[in-house]
Amino acid sequence: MVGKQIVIGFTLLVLLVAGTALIPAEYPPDDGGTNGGIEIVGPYGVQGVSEITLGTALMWYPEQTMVYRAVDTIISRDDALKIAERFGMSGPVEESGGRIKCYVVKDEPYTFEIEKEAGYMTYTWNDRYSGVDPRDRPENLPTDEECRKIAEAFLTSHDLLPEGAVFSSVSQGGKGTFSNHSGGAPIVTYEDRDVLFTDTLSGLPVTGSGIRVTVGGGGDILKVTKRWRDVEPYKEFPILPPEEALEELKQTGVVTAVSSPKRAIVGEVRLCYYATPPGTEQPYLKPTYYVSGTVEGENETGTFFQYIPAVPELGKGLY
Amino acid sequence: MRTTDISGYLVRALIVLLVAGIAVAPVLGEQQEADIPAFRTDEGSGPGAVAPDGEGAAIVMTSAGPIAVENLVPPYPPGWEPPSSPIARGGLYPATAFDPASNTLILHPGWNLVSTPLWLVDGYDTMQAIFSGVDTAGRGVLGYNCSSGWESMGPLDEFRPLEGIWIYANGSYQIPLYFKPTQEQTGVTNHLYSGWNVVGFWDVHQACARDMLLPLGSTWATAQGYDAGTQDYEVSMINGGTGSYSDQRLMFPGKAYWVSMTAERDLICSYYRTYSFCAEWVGDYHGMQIPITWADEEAEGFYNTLDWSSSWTGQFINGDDAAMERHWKDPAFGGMDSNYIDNTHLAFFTGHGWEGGFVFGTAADDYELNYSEARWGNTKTDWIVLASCNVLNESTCTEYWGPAFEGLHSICGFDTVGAAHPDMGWYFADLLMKGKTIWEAWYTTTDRYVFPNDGSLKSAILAADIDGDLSTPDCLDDHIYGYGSSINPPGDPLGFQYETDSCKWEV
Repeated sequence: MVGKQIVIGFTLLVLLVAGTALIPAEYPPDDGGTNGGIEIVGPYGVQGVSEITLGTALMWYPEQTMVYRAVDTIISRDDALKIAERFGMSGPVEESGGRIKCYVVKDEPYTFEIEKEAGYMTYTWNDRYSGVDPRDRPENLPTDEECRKIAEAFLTSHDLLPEGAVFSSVSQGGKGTFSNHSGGAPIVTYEDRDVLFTDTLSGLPVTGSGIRVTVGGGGDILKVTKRWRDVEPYKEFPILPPEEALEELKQTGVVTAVSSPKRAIVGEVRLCYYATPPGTEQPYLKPTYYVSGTVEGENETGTFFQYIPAVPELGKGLY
Repeated sequence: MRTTDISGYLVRALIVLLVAGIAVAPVLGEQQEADIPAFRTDEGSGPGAVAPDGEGAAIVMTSAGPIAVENLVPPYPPGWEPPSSPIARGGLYPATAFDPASNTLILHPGWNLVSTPLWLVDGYDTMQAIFSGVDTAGRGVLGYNCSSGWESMGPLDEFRPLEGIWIYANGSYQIPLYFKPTQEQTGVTNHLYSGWNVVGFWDVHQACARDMLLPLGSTWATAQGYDAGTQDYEVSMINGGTGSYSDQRLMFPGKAYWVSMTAERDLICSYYRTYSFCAEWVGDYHGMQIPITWADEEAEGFYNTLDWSSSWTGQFINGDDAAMERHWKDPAFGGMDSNYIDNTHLAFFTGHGWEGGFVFGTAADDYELNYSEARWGNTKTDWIVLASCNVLNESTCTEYWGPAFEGLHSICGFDTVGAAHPDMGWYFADLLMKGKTIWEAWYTTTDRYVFPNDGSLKSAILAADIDGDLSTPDCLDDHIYGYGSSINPPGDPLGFQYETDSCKWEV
């Protein structure tokens, strides 16, 4: 009897050791530092959900995908001037102070700014973008389709559409309302449309990297914003099947405004790359699952989203 | 520009001085305001303090005995006559006296009570150099000394900042002022006596009476400008007053003001003003809420960056259990915000939130600051940033947070779920110090650092509107002090402007 117990105990011990040894092979430790990745997802809204169900069919995904290495972007004064000239501005180029150094070109009514070390760029009609100009009342706003055409025409005619950028969406950008202190329905005083063109790598969109055109009343261009990650191919890695990504979702929780979420229904699973904010360290751009859907709480329902890194070999961080 | 008969200048001034001698004493009780102001309790109730009299009105404790503040009316210049066509006295938007774009002093027909906003270049700083082209219709240029009364200004008398003069203009004039360069501008002092004093406004940017007269503490009772457009006094601004009499009403460059003092005191103004700010953050909710990983870095990044500004001084930063609800709650509801966040010009909070308030990690008070317990700006706060989810929800924020505006200019926050990021705080402060408006700095920061999303995450601002004009940005375009213009709203704004911006960089 005792001998049998020893054999069983030994077998369990071997299995335990073997199992433990296998874990790092599949899920190597995180890179450390800020590359904890998932933690960076809006901590306010990340909440655990006890029940997650799939409300859509999972699509086919490649078994392996290219991981890209981020390349530093450095902008010179000449670079800044050349880009400003594409907007029809002629200078002079000034340098702004502060912690993030920028080149600035002003040519009324627009101001062009580009960061020296990240290339983050804005071209803004400041007086209009502040949100009270009568020209930007909602009734003066073109249709979404017109906004898209206006934005595309502007970018292509000014040679500003980067290689790899594809049309993504038209959506409400800014909105302004006025309310009397005495009550009454708010009056909508301002509305614009954001036309987004997203970067693509290996045929997948790069979330957080793109160029956005804000169209206001009369079809005027109120702002162009570009945040773009320059990259080079690193190497291909096997990726997590979407089914396992959903299992990960149970561990990470979801980003939602619904309090005490009880049940999440996944409505969409998409594979993409994730780019961090300009100027932040990002060694790699890794394939990532974007998961979204609806969530039910105790007293309310709403939407959720979450990003799940898809290359286990590179750790659980998003980058 | 018209010319003046300079040879008759002194003779006319002597005549004016003679006439003025008859009218030296302040005229009391000529006019009385209709509505009676309410007051907050100030630092003390001894001589010189403004205090409630038990019925909502206020009295000034002087050596001559108590005087109701609303009964104080400053002296009129000798020869002043009431306007022929009576115009309702408003005082909120007096005629402009200075154009900062061209550095010109603007004189309107009739009497003008004016000052220079900064030190003038030598040789361009005398009455003769500045006003020689003005037709004064024989009334000259007058100053007022609390002890000796009206006095005529001589042609070589210096036009000094912080001192005001009366000048009669027989027409409209725009007079260029030549300021000393920045490196030669220094602070300025005006010794004020008990009673009426004429005080010039110092600076080229407007400021509220409370801030301008802050060095006087509780020794100033009331300040009153003269509207050259209507040729009559504006509604007075009373130390601690609210409503029409609020000390948060604006004073303007180029203008001068009567200031009634209850004791002697120097008004000392530095060329470089400093303003105060604070920050609180909660990352550890002791298991009651999900921890906020980057709350400390976000708030400390903001605090440490803005603290580099020569114009701004950090008063305090509290984290986790040291951040408390009482610091944000008005004394009327049992809090002590007048000693904490409302005792600074700008307050920043990072932590959990919802439509009706925001959440703390300690039960030392209670866990939540509810909107109904907030009254901000009734001591000092001009801007608040609540980096918390849903606090500025589009459908509720005006109704919920509107009543909290008692001098506050704006609140920035999130309409929806928000996000924290270790770089958000310092980047936001950096943009403020680059001269971005507060709203532009906030939506640019959130657009950059809030997690890429499908457009459902939105930053927001709720800003006081001062005129009901939908095409003027008012407090939406505020910059922090020292980095651009801002406009002070009344304690009870006419309305609110609300804007959202989508943080959209989705797939």
